[in-house]
Amino acid sequence: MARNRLNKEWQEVKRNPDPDIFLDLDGDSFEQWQAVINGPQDSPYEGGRFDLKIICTANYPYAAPQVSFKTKVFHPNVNFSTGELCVDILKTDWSPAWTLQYVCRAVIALLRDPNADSPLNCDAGNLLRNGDLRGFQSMARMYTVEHAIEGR
Amino acid sequence: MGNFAGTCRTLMCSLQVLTGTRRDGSQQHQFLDAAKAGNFAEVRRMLEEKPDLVNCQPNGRWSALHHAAHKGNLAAVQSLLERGASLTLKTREGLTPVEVASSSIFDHLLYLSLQASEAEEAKGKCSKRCASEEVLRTLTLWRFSPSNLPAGVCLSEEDSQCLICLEDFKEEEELRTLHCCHSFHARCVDGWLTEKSRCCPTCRADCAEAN
Ligand SMILES: [Zn+2]
Ligand SMILES: [Zn+2]
Repeated sequence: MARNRLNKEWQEVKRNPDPDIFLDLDGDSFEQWQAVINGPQDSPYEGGRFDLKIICTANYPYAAPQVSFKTKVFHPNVNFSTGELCVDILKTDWSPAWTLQYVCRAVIALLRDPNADSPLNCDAGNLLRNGDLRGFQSMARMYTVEHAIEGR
Repeated sequence: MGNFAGTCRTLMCSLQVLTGTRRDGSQQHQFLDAAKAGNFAEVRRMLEEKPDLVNCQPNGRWSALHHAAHKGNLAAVQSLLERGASLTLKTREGLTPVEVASSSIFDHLLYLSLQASEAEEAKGKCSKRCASEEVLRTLTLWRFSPSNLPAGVCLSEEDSQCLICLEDFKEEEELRTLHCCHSFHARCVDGWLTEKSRCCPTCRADCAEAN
């Protein structure tokens, strides 16, 4: 089913694009996708544009897509070197009714609301857990400016 | 990274001033100022205008619910909860609204938060378990025909599409309708329920529980 369903999603994205999400095939197959998401307002990621790599296996949508950041991002739930993400909806809470566009929205929501309890980036997680919100925001802002605004 | 994080931080403080990351958010601060002053009439008024203020915590400030709980104002607490305030928000010190609550309403709030966490847990449970064949048999299986719904089957306007394959339902196709009233092609949903999770893909209700 993966191919038919992904084709439907592709048509739908072209018909109804989300202003904060650019989403398209990466190459000729439906397996690999690329996305660019806008950093959420009132967060240290604001103004940044972040590249995501999305891979859908033949078992999609029964299996969640694999999503990772290609742009460097300083965030407790994103692995700083690999860009791997830790978010429930891509792990235990996945539902086959969710689409790639929905997944991108969830990633934007994750940027807005970091979860310091399950950190993949300990430096970011520790700053938040120690209540150093300013420290966290400055670091996140610095990497946003360097990689998601000026480095693009 | 390690040390790098520490050395960059001072540098970044000045950069933060330059780029003004602390912009705007002033409405959020006004909202929390009202809550802090105990002016919950104003809090309610602002929420009616902008409901998503309810859980805001600009700069890690106390949420409105923290203030209401701390003041022991049960009516304000209830009104905030009705408007979606979360009992799991934390202060910078990691304290929940229950933990800062005045002793006069502490028990009541503790009870509410236990209830909330139980509901949360129950919701998570179905995602880790699959439906047995017996459970599957309790879910209505029928041939789609919009003019002729079997007894007990509800179908709303937006239910004309299977959210798993994203195809419209066609006459005579075999559908499975869960207790929550969400319908899918049987060929699309049966495998999900029996092999992956008992949660309804649309609303996450446990399909093993009739309502
Ligand atoms: Zn279907
Ligand atoms: Zn449902």
